[in-house]
Amino acid sequence: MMRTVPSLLLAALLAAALPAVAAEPAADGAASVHGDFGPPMGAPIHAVLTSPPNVPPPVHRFYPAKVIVDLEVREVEKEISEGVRYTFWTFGGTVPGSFIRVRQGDTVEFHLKNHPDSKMPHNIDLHGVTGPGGGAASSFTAPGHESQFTFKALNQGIYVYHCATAPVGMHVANGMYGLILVEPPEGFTPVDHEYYVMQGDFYTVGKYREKGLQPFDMQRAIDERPTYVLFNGSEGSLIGDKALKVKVGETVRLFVGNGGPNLVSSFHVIGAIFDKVWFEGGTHFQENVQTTLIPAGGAAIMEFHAQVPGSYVLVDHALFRAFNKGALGILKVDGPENKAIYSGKEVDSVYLGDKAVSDQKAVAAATTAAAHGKLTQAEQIRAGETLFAGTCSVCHQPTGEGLEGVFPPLAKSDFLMADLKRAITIVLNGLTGPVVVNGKTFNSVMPPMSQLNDDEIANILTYVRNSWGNQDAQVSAAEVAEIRKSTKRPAGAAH
Amino acid sequence: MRIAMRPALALGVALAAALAGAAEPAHVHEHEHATPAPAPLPGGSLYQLGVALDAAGGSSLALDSLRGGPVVVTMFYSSCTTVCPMLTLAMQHIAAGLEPAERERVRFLMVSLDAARDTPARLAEFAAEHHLPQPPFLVAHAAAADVRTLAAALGIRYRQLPDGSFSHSSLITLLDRDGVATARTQVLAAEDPGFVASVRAQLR
Amino acid sequence: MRAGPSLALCALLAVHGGAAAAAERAPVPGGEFTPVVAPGKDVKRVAVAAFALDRRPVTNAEFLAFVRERPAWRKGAAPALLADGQYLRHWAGPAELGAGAGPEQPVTHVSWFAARAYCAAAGGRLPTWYEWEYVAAADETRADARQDPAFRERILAWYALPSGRPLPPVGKTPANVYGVQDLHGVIWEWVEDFGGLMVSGDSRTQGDPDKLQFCGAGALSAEIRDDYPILMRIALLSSLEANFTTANLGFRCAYGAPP
Repeated sequence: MMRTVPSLLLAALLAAALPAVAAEPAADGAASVHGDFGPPMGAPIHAVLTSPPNVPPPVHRFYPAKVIVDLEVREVEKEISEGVRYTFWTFGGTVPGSFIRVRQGDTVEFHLKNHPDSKMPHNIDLHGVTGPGGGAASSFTAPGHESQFTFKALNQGIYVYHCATAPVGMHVANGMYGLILVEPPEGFTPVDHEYYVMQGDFYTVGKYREKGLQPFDMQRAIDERPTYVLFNGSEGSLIGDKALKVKVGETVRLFVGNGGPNLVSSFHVIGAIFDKVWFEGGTHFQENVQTTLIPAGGAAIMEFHAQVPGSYVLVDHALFRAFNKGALGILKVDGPENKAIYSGKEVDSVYLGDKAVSDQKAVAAATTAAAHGKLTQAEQIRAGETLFAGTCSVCHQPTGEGLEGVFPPLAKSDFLMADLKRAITIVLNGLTGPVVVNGKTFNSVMPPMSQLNDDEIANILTYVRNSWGNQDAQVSAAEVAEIRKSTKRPAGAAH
Repeated sequence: MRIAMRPALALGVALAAALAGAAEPAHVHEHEHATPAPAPLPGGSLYQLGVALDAAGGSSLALDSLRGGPVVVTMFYSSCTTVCPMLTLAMQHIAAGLEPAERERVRFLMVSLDAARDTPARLAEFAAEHHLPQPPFLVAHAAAADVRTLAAALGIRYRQLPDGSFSHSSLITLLDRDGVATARTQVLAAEDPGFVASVRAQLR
Repeated sequence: MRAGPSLALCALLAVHGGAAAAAERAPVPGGEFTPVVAPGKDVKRVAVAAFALDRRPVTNAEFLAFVRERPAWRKGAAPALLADGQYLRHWAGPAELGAGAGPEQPVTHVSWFAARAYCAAAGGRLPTWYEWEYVAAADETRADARQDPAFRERILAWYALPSGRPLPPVGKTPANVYGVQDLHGVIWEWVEDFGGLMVSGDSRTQGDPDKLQFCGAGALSAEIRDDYPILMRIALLSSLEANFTTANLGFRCAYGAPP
């Protein structure tokens, strides 16, 4: 890209003369067209096109230029879901097609090439083009040929492009759509990551996840009964190692389009709130948005910042599409936890609902006291009794007697009282094999009870070791935590 | 060698055209003993088509007899009332945009799509009604198969409707002296100065 | 040729090839049908006069025999006006098929001009769009299967296959009621009046003809809007110029007075 000094100077002068959002008449005195900043300057630029989910770098230019876009149409057989193949018709070999990025006022020289192996003719309608058919009439291209047309990007925004060859619905259903971004003259504020996501609905003769090469089903498309609703053309496109990656503290901008052909998207990122949404891809933004509507043939821009690590799921919130048709993607945020914003699970207590034998007041009181560091043995015993009744008494009996020959007793149990640490370990990790309690051998299975949290186990053990003739001190949650940390849970047990 | 030959060819064609009513053999230059054999036609030349024309007024000529000077060609039919009058007007505009000396070195070829009804006699009437002097205008009939061939080569789409009229695209093409299409215009409502300039460029 | 269609047919068939060639041509009786693209505003039906049609598309071997006799149509010799740069690109040489072009595969990478020249040399012509659509409307048992969703699905399934696979040899698909094979699922085929399909490049402008661009009725609109296989065939043909060639486009010949 070579620019001579004089043309740079001229560009600088013009940029200084024009406000960032132009409404001035053009230099030759003709009536101003919104977004027409005059003829292109400098050497022609070959547009950098990217495949999803990547976005080309910002334009970083302060003058209108001639931008040459070379886009190839290819009919490609690829996986739409694991073991399921589909013949996609694509712009640039991907669904959605390559992302195009220009600046408002640019003169775009568009070359559409149709690969010689294509069966069908194709064309392109870019929603950002002011002109008949959005360019479709001028780009109708037979296989093995190339068409060229030129347009000026008069309006800023994020626009869908798609094939408009008859039958349009079928060409779009086969994946012929993408996004073109026309940056405002002043560009966007910098963010750490920009990503490109586009939803589409797909119609196959076979059922969801039925294996093999699936043909397009015209009747399902007419009836608007998709088999798949996907981001970026395949079920695994944004999952696993293809998940979008961001670090804690970074800002993200998503360019999200909806190619359709039929469905409107209720776009939501589980666990995130969009700080700003340029709804419908227009000039104004809404703030603090949970779910935004993206019409078929439309797009939106959203920004948010990553504060808490974890996997954030991109969905179409019309939920059966997310969970039964594949409209699901992952944005993975890595980095240090921030408990002040999100703690993770704090209390997991047994909820008996209307099945509670006694009311849960004792447990609640104990929890409150523990939080204040003032938990008394009496409070623990009362809480432990309630918890024992719901969980342990089934086997060990409400009287602590156990079952002759099957479940060992806890009442006056020498085995229980001899070793507190062992008792905690058994509650957490279970026990299999013979034990001798009060002179009798029991050979049974006690399942791990690690789903109880440290407070609950401490309260239960305090109760058990202070009931039915047993006498001991308090068992603290810290002691339980210590054993939980230093021993391993058996397979399948909770944390 | 080709450059030296062109004036001779042009002279030959002009002489032949001036002789109204004389039968035009396919290769006029063969009768000019001083002229060497013609250069082969370029790959894009329409003169490779072998199309035969019947001029209004009755004489027959081969399309490739027009080789040697620029030809502005379009296709129409005489009973058309919507676009064809504008097409005719556009041809006249292009002719009027040239100087008389330039105009007589160009041929304005209008071939009818309606092989069945636009006989040479009917076309002669048409030319008279629309004040199309022949030459430099050449209003011609061609057989249906040749109409299809010529339209295909020019990129003109057409089909006949049940009532006998035609649905067709309107396009005016400039052929260079070897019959290769070098410029096109679909501007009918106003003048197309760019196209006239292209015609002029062919005369240099 | 006023001796009646069948006599005319016999006369034509006798001109070329004799019995062997005649067996390769299916007689198609005349009839009427409703085409997808209506002939005119208030005219919905079209009459097709009796004619004969090749049972199968023209093969690489048959086209090779043609160019052996007519060197002007060989790969590399045909001028750009008549065939584009991809003409017979899959052949190894001007008069040689090579490994990439099976003799029994339908010939592709041929232009309209080349197809027409072949058919003229064989004593015939290209079928018109109506003749082609009329015969292609039939399946194995019915003259008109176009409204049957299963029939359409079969055709659309071919469109779903990507192009990289080698073409099948001709004559493998079931013959329809006229005894004609391979009209669907093998290749696109040239017709004489491909340029008369008058569909604008942008399919959404139907009903809004640019009157200055098209004389007459303007761009024709499709009558049967859900016969997608036919619409796609029309879209392909209307994207072509006469000298274009593509990897999936071949032809077969028709015989009888042109309509």
